[in-house]
Amino acid sequence: MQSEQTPAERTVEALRFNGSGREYFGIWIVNLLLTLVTLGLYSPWAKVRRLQYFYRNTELAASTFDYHGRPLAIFWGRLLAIVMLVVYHFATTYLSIWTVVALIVIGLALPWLLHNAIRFRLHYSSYRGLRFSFRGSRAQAYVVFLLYGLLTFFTAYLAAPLFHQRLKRYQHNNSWFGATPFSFDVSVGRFYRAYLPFMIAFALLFVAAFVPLGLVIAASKHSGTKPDPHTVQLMMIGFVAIVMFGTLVLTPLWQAVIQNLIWSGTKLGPHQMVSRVSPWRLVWIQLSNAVLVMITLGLFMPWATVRALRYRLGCMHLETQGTLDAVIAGGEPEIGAFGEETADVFNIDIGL
Amino acid sequence: MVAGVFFDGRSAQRHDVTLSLDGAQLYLRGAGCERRDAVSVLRISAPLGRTPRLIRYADGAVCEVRDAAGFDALLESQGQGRWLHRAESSARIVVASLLLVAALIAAGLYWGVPLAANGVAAEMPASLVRQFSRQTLDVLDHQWLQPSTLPSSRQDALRVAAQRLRSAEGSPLAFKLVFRASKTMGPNAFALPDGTIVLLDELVALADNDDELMAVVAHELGHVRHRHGLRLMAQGAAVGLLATWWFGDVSTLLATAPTVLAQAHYSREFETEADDDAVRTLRASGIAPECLATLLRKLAVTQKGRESQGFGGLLDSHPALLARARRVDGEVSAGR
Ligand SMILES: [Zn+2]
Repeated sequence: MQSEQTPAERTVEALRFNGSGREYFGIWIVNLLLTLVTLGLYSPWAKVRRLQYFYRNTELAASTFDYHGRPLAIFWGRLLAIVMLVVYHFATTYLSIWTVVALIVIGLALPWLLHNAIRFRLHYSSYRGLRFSFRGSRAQAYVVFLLYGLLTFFTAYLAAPLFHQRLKRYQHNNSWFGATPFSFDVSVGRFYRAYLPFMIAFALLFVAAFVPLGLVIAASKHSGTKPDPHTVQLMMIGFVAIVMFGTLVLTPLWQAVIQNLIWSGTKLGPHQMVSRVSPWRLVWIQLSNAVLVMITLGLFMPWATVRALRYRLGCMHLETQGTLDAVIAGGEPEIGAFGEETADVFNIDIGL
Repeated sequence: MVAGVFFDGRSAQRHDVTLSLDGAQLYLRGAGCERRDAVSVLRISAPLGRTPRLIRYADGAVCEVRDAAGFDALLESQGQGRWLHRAESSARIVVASLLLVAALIAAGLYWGVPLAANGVAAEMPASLVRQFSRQTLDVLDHQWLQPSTLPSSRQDALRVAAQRLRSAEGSPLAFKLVFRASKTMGPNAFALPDGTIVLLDELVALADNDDELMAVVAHELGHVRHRHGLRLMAQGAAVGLLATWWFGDVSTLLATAPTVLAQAHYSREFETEADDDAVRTLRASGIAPECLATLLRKLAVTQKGRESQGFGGLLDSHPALLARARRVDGEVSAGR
């Protein structure tokens, strides 16, 4: 990879996050208060303000990003997402013929909405006065989300790396900054290699968490006596410790590895993006954040968010070939926010 | 004169510029660019933290200004939503907001959650309640309960005795009495939301006469009448939802602990409500309401030194049982 014949004009532009915890705390608590007193109606405005704070504090080559999302559009998107969530919930709780109908309708609508979500997010992001845009086709969204999504589901997540690669390829290969396209070049094999240790660790944790519990229950059933309370207590502690380890240690490790994999495989025109997050450093940050959030009953949250963002963005840079100034605009029409919220609610990562 | 960086909206080329006001027009000038626009047609961003202020032109061009003081001096009172920034950066308003948010959340937990849970429990369709109750009993049978060893004649006798129970208004009560045994739960009884009342053999053995058992049934019927089981479930779900919303960013793991704490508190209230109901029911059925207090005291003795096991039944910690017995005595003498 590191070739010696690098052109002289190649420079490194670092990405930086300038937000401060104290400042974000003020924004966060005022957002929260307004959201509570308006019974949630303010939340789209809060979201826009939060994202604007994050975008405008993200700096690359002495310029910041900006977010232009319109709260009202987000409001309608959010309403639709809630309706879909309620339908989904009832359809899966009370099994009937309507379950099938509702699931099919949602399944067909979801790719359409997610396609819109990606478009909305990018279209309303800008840098140096130029908009980002997403030009992926709707048909491809159906292939990615329905085909690979269902495949993942039916293979008990063994196809998850494939799904993730296809999703990121679809997202990054169809994203544009002005008239300059992004490109994505990370093979499915590399996704599997990155996922493998985590899949193994997850399987081991699963076994470690459930097998002793199952054994004790089976033994007590066999002998007809109730299990020793001390053993049960010990096992519950062990179970919680394992789940904690999984969420607090494995998740940040995975986030770091995947961020590096995805972004170091993404280019903007000729400019190579690079991400070098240290997995263990991220574990330390997320772990200490979780502890501090817990002992402050959540009040440390704004600092935690800023701290994690600062580290994760600070580990990224752009290796430019020539200058960013050369990028020119490429117009795209306005679009609605339908879908933007669906992704949040159904917990699907479409993060920029 | 204020320094800024101008982008024309057609390319990513940076232009270092200076801005100045010329009457009602903003004058921008730099190497290779110069423009003059009416301030009224510009969209000027509200201040947000220490992020750059943005001037957006109608043709898509944008000018970033980092010098906040200079910007305010130049375009004072421009940009809507300034009050937000003032609130966010004022220590006094931030602290006041924090206290208000804490008060609102506390009020929501104290009044809002039970209210919402009542609404959900009251609106739950009967078919769903039946389905849920059946599932719950299945789970309990599977994990904690064994078949009753009481002779069926004794079971039938208790069922006949229970027919005497009348609501406070004097009408017959709809319920189904079932018997089970349990090695782990000790003397206990509990109600399922559809009116199925489960009496454990250990409790039947503890009672000295059938009236005491009728007091237990009356108490459990109080839980059914007030839909305590469903409310508890809905409250748990609501608190869980709130906690996830609050802690959601960090980890859903943190979100489960408060749910457990909140439930322990609510169930205490429910017991009192069910006890009061039982006293009225017993009186209407011609059974001495003191029986309930007697049985609660007996339970307290068996519970002494034992940890509460957290089922929705009669089981409670030792001091709580004694306190309830005293309360029932108070109700009985007050109603005489
Ligand atoms: Zn009770």
